[in-house]
Amino acid sequence: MTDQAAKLIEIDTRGQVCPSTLLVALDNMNRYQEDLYSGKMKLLIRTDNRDATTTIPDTAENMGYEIEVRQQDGFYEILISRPE
Amino acid sequence: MPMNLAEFYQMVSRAVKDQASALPDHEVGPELEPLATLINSMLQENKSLRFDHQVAVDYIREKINQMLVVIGTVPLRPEELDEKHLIALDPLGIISRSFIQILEHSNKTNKKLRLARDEIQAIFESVGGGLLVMDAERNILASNNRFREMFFAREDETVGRTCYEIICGNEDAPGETCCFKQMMVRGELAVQPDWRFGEKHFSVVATPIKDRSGKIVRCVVLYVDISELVEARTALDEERERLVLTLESIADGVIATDDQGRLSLINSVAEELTGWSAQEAIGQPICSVMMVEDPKAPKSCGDFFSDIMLHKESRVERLDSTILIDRQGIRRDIYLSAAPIHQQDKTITGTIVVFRDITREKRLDEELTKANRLESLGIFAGGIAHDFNNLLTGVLGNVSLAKVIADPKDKIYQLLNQTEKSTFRAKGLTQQLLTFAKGGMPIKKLISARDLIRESVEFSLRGSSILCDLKISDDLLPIEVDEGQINQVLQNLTVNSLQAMKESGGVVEVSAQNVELGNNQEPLLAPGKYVEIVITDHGPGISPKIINRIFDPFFTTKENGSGLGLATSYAIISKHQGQIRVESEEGKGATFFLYLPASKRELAAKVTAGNDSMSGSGRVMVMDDEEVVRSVTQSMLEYYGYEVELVNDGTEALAKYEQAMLDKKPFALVLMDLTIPGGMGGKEAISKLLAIDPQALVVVASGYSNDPVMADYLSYGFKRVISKPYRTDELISVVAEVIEEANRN
Repeated sequence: MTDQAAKLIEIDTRGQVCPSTLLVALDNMNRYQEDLYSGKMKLLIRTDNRDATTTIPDTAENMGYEIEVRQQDGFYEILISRPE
Repeated sequence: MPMNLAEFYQMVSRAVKDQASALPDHEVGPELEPLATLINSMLQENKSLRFDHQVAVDYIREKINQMLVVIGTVPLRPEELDEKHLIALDPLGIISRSFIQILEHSNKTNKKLRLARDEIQAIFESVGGGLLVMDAERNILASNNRFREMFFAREDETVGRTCYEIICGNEDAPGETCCFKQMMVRGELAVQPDWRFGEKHFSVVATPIKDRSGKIVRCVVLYVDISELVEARTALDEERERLVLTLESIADGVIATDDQGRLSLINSVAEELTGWSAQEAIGQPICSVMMVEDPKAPKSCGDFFSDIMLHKESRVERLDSTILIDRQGIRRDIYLSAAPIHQQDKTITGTIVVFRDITREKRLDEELTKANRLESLGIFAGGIAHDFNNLLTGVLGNVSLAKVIADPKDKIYQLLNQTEKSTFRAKGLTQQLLTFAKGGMPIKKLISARDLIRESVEFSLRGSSILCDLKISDDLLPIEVDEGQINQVLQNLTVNSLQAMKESGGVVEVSAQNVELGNNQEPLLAPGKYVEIVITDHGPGISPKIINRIFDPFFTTKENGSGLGLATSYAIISKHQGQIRVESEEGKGATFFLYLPASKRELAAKVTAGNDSMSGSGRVMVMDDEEVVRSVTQSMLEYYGYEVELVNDGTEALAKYEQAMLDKKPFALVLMDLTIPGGMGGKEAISKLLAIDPQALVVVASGYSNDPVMADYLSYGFKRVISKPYRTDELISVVAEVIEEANRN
């Protein structure tokens, strides 16, 4: 399945701080585990909490996901996809 | 007073609301007392339940926080999630499900890592070299079997020890060749291509392992035993050295090219022949270095190269007529052979060209061809000349006799005189032919080359306007030659020079010196000491078209020339084991080089036989089958006071000699002709005569003959040899000397 075909789930956690940001992210990773692993889905988390740009990727990596962190205007986007 | 129900209800409601552990201590009355007791126990239970709930909630919150910290974030703040949400959001569930994912991933990763570790272990052991893993303090962390085999016993433990302790000895001062030290200094991979340990050679590579800060924490050192490689390389170097030495020591020029025709090798002979040094020539196109010209089919050097590279010819040979022009423009005749250099898969990687300077051989070949031609012509000419000479003797004899009979005033006398003159010229010509022909064996005598050259050259130049620059070295060695023949050669050459400069005038240069010739220095000549005579004129020179023919008999460029002068000279010099050759450039004159073997003997002090005391006495027997010769000889001897007896042949001579001895009127000397057709000649007669009288003095006379007796007369018992025709003074001095010598002894 190509990237274009993957469904993108967007979660906005702006205004929240850790650990709740992380918990929201983890909750979604748990919920969509199967689709994320199979590549049907990608998870895009928006956050304005700087700590979350470390905690979410670290945990997601430990869970085996591929992570990409992009800085946007005033917030961050963390793209979580299936491992290569 | 007891409470009414409404008051009681109010009290219970307040107690529940306040989460009191008991109702206030009020008198409730006997009716409500059981209910108050029940409510009190329920309040008590409620308090206990609330306590338990709080414990559970605290527990959950604590565990959640622990997990959050483990996962890398901060604990929950109490206000962040109240108890209600704590349960509803279920962070514990979230985290634990995440942990399941983490564990699953971790398991997968572990599996991969285990595989990777096994692979690394397999590589570690199966790699061809010895491997050592160390920390930055050179403590050994691991080593493979191959490493232990290389340096110790396989079962020896290395972990926990240091590399210097077990390899280099127990010293903590790594040398400059230490690969580990180089790696630490440079902070990157270090290679020691040839590190020696005992008899062995190793290639050592130290690879650093760095932590995230870039600090070297470990290193892997690989040892590969290259002893065999080093040995093979040494053998290869030796082989190459041997090849170079071989190429340098062979007498041929060798040049190798790559497939583009650029020089890759040139040996010193090739350097010398081309005029290019190896340094300049390597990498140059072969055509710039080897300028080759083939006069028959003009080709450049590129042809044989392309013949091999493009037309796949297995060998190109140029046996003759190939000229190599060196860097200075000097031309050399070469023999050339070129062949492709094949690789093992048969592809051609270049060419190899071998060539030899055959200038000398070619000249030798030309000389031999010339000599052969002259020899066959000589035999032919000799046959004619011999008969011709006999005929001339008859003509001359009869003419001279006719002159005696005729009246000098008669016109016929003048005609006879002219006939006689012409006959003399014919005789001279015959003499040349005889000399040139095989028959003219030189009658050698030890003489001063200096005197001969001077007299001969000065005589030839007499009366000429041409001057002579004569340079004869003072220590010129004597030569053993036929004086008359060499004189003839020198006169021929001098007269040629004169004639060449008749129009231009100038100076003939004649020089003579001793030379020591090495092997092959002059073709046809054996090594040794020679007298070199060089005669140079400044005439028009000799055209290259005819220069190879000038020694041929009957070849002449002069209107009245016989074409025998140089041919005769060539024959004479050859018979003297010498050599004559010419060098000439058209328009710039010609130079004749003459080589005669120098004698090892010393010249005896000159015996001066005074002309005034030429007259002698005694009986002389003259043996000759030619009446003319007999009578002439008789006249000569009698004129000088000798008593003469004439005989026809050996038989008569022996009889008369014996009779004279018996009569006590012995002969002082016998002059014998060497060959008597149909009778006993001198060769046979002398042994018989010596048998009768061992003291007999015998002189042999002959024309030019190929009979070795003339050259080796002493061993046959003759005292002297005299060649016919002879002048009176020649004859008389020989006769007088022989008799005088005998008297002295």
